[in-house]
Amino acid sequence: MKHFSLNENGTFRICQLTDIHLEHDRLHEEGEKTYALIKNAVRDTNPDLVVITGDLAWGTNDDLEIDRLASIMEELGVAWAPVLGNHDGQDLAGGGEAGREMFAGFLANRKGGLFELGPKDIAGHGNYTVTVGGTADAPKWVLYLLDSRENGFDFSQVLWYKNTSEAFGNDHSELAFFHIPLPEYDWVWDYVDCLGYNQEQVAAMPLNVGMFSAMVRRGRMRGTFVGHDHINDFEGTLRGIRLCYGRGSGYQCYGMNGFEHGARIIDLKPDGTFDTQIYTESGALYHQEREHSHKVNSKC
Amino acid sequence: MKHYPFKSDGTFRICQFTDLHLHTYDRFEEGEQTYALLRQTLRDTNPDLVVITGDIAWGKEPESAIAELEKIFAEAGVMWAPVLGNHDGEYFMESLQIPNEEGRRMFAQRLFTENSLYETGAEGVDGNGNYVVTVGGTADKPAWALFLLDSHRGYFDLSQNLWYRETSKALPHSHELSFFHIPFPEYVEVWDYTACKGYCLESICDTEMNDGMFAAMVECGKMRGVFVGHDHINDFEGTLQNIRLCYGRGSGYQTYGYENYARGARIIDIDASADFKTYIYLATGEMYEQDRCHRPKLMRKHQRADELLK
Repeated sequence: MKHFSLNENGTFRICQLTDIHLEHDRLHEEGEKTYALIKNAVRDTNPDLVVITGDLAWGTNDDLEIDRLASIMEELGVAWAPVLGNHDGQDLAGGGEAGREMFAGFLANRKGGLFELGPKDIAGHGNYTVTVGGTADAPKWVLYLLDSRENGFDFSQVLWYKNTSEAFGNDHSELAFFHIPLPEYDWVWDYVDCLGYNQEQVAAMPLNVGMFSAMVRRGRMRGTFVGHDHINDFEGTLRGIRLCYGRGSGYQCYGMNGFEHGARIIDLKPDGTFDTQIYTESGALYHQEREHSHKVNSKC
Repeated sequence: MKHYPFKSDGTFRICQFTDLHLHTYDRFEEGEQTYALLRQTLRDTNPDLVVITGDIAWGKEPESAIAELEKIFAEAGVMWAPVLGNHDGEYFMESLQIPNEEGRRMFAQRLFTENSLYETGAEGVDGNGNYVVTVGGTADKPAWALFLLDSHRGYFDLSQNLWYRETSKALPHSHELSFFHIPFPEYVEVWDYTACKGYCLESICDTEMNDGMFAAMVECGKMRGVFVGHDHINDFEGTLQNIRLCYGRGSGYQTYGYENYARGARIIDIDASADFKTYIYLATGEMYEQDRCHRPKLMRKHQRADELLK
């Protein structure tokens, strides 16, 4: 488990890339654009950590793409923490759990790469934490990197989250990064005023195993960051947790004409909250303002 | 853990009453109407077990109401299995000014009457009244396990989720039913997205958050039907992931209802098979299978979700 110190002013910057969908054997021009975006995002925003929320590579020879990604991250000199998306591993070893396990193997043991396979007795590949600030035993921030698997969390992951969070005590703040949105993302757009874009239907986990509920009960989670829906980048707050999408970072997959690729920048603040902005391929960095008013009022 | 064999004809009838809201501070006539309905229902439907899905008694002295219930069930020769609703225990909380949890616990203590199957539940499982009653087959290898759960004032705790999962896997039963007071959010989903039978005359007042109880039931794979109360004028049934989500029929007169919507009960008939038959029984004496079909308003958004929910 990697521990980072906060910067002198008590801050820490995370750059969330998502759905980079690197593909070795097709769409090479687009692939170069993705790599260029990754380099520009890191050089322009100067993060202390890069998180990649899944769908890193697909098609054949994806290990070669991961090799290239890893060497670029090493060149850029920034630590990176990936999690698996639903597509990762689908074209390996016949797909399914075997493919995912193999893919996870490509991510492990990379110089500067923080990926850990996670405890064997809980579902998924790559459930791990990274701590920031304070000390490794009493950190100011705990970042959860979770595998949302092919279709959503398993209950064993809810238990792992709860136990891990309790072990850190009650004085820290948390963030969570994973690929497929919680079912509550679907809810938040309808019930709460949000910022940013919802341009395709929220493809949330179909079964709600109670992960959001567990996070609310613990009271430490400040924000969750997902991918999966490439042309959504909205943020909405439910029960004190800011449910955020990343900004689609990959060119070798669907996007939307006119909707720039980019990244989400997250700045941890000394008071235990965070600030967040969208970075786009044209180099812009801005706070989301585009407001969406909720349509439905709570029932009871 | 209480076990019931099937009757000689291989069946077993459960009568679900809900939201009796018995109290002794006003609407005395309505209180008598509630007791009369219970007696009449028992006479007409002749159940082998009664379940009461919460909001049993509130206001001054819930003891007298509970004593009267015990008398009615004893006279009919039937045992009763209650679970707590959000209102149960409020009298103790208000009058003694003690916390929620203490009030509920005090209420629950009054439920240990002679014909009551009420159990507090295992150590370490949050809530009052998380217990199992088995039916059919033998005590060692029952056909059905009925899970009675405490939905508190609108949530399920992880410890209850864990206990359900462990118990579902540990017991050798084939099928399950579950009874509790407050519907989980999947009741909203089923009404919005699928064709249902019966009435939804008020907004579904579901648990505050989704605590993953439905997901647990789907994963354990034995749950056939879930029965709740809380929303007095809803009595619909809808199926999600092969689990039939049902409301009871509001049984209490000392609380809100709706004009022309009769009070009653839900009758559930089980046998050795996975299917169960269920009927609405009304105070008029009528008993029928629901067929009033509700067409959902909303379209499912994702093909993949559709496939998973088949």
